[in-house]
Order: sequence, then C-alpha cells, then structure tokens
Amino acid sequence: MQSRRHHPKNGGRADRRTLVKGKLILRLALMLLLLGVSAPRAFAQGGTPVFERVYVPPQPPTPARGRIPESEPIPQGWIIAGEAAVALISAAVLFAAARAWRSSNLFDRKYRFPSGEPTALRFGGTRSGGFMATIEPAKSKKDA
Amino acid sequence: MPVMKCPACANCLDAPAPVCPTCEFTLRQLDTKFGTVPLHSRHLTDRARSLTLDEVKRLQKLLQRFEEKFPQSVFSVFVTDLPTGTNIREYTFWLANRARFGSIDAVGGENFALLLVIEAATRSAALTVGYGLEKFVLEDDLSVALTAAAPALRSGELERGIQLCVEEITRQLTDICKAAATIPKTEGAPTGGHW
Repeated sequence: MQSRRHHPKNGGRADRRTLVKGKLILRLALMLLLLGVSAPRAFAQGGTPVFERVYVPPQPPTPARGRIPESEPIPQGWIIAGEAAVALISAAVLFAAARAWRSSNLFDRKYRFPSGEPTALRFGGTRSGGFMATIEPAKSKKDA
Repeated sequence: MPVMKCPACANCLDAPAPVCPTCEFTLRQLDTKFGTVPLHSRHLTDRARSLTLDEVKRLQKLLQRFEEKFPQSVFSVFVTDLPTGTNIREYTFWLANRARFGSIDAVGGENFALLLVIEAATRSAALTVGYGLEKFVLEDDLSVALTAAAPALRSGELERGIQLCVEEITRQLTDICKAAATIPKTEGAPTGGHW
C-alpha cells in the first residue's frame, strides 16, 4: 500500500497543505515572538505616571513699578562727623587697652624678693626686728 | 648686716638678741603695755578718722598697686591717736609683730611687709619693715621715704604724705630689684624669684 503522500493523484495537494501549515506556524511563531518582545513595554506604560504635571494658573502680571527716586547724597559734614566719632571711639578703646596692658604685669613687671635665708629674731618679734625710721613733729630727721 | 637698734632705747646691738642688753626690752613687755591689738585692715586703717572716704579709697588703691608690684609684700598704713608719752617706735614694733596685716605664715625672713604708723595728733611717724626686707633696705632708705612725706604730714596733708612715702619706697624697691637683676648669677645673684 502506498502512502497518500506519494499518491500520484493527490501528491501536489498535500505539498501545498504542508506549505500552508508551515506558513501558519511561522506566522504564529512570529506573532508570539513579537508579542513576547513587546510585552514588557506594554506593562510599564500601563502603570500610574510617576511625574504628573501640576497645573499652575498663570500669575497675574506684576504691576509695573515706578522708577525709584534717587536718594539724596549724605552731607559731607555728617560723613566727617561719623569718621571723627569712629576715630574717637577707636582711640578710647586703644587707650583703655593700652592701660589694661600696662597694668596687667605681663612683662615681668612684678618683682619678687629672694627668700629662704634664716633670720635671727630680735626681742621676741617674729615678723619685724624693729628695723625702722621715724620722724618727729618738730624735726624731720631720722630718730635712730 | 643691717644696723640693729632697740625699739625702746634706740641703742645699737652688736648681734641679734632676744632681749635688749641695755634696757632689757622685749615684745612681751609691750603686750602688757598696749593690751589688745586694735582693729585693723590689710592696707589702710584710720583709727583717728583723719582721712575722708575718698582719700581712704585712693590710698587703698595705691597700696593695692604696691602689692601687685611686689606680691610678697604688703604696705600697711596705720593712722592713730596714741596716748601722750607713748613711744611711737615701741608701738610700731609691737603692732608690726602682733597685728595681722599680711599672711600668718609670713614670719622671719619670709616677712617682706612694710608698716607706716602715723600719730595723727603730733604728726610723728614711723616706718618699719619685716625681717625679709632688711637685706635690701637700709634705715637711711626708710628715712628718705619719711623725709619725703614729712612736709605734707606737718601741713596736715595726710593723704599726700602717705602717697609720697609709698611712692618713694616703691621707687627704691624697684631700683633694688632692677639692680639685682643685672648681677650675674656667678656673683651671687639671688635666685629665689624672677628678677
């Protein structure tokens, strides 16, 4: 028994069917392929838009301002007085600082006496031994 | 060694003595004589009320400046009315030893105090120093300081007299300290402080 494929009567028809079927399968595969490639794009575009444009109504136009009038120049006397005041204050501050510096004993202006040597006490006095000078009302000579 | 004299009889002593060989004077005798130590302050005491409040303030400031310059030292001024016949030398010696003008620890050679006692009624005055200053100040130096103040004291200008005395002593001590600072250490310069 011969197969239908090689039947001499329907041999050409079968080939044609096979060709059609192949074309269909190819088209389906192509469609699936195209659908598969384009599917992610379709999902991404289907979500909520991240950035939305906010509608801002147009601001009313700013009223035109008039030209600022030029201020009058400061009188020269005022400028001189101001500078003189600043100079005076600076001088006062400088003077006070110099005075504080002078009185602060920063540069060895304190004097110290050497100590530690034993001293013989006199007359029972532990602090002073009666080493002194005196003046009398009538005379200004040393009473010693 | 400085010349030492008895505060009572003013006789010179050859060596330090606990009792004056001439009059047998001691500090204890003065305790009995003068009794309780009068109230006093560190810098200025005006028992005779001879100074105005402003004068007291100015003098206190001057004496504080002296102490700032010589931190070991205290210059005290004591103005009082002494009973008639009181020896101002004895009283000054007694007060310098019994009163507490400076630190309690400042005894012997550690005492660099100065005490000026002024008798307000007679305008007599005495200036004494602690043991520590005896090495630097001569009695003549003290006498010069008092002589500078004498005219003002006699004319009743107590504040001016005290001021002149303090200034003269300050000048002398400054000169002494500066002179000592120029002595090289090999010649026995003092090393106890920054001169």
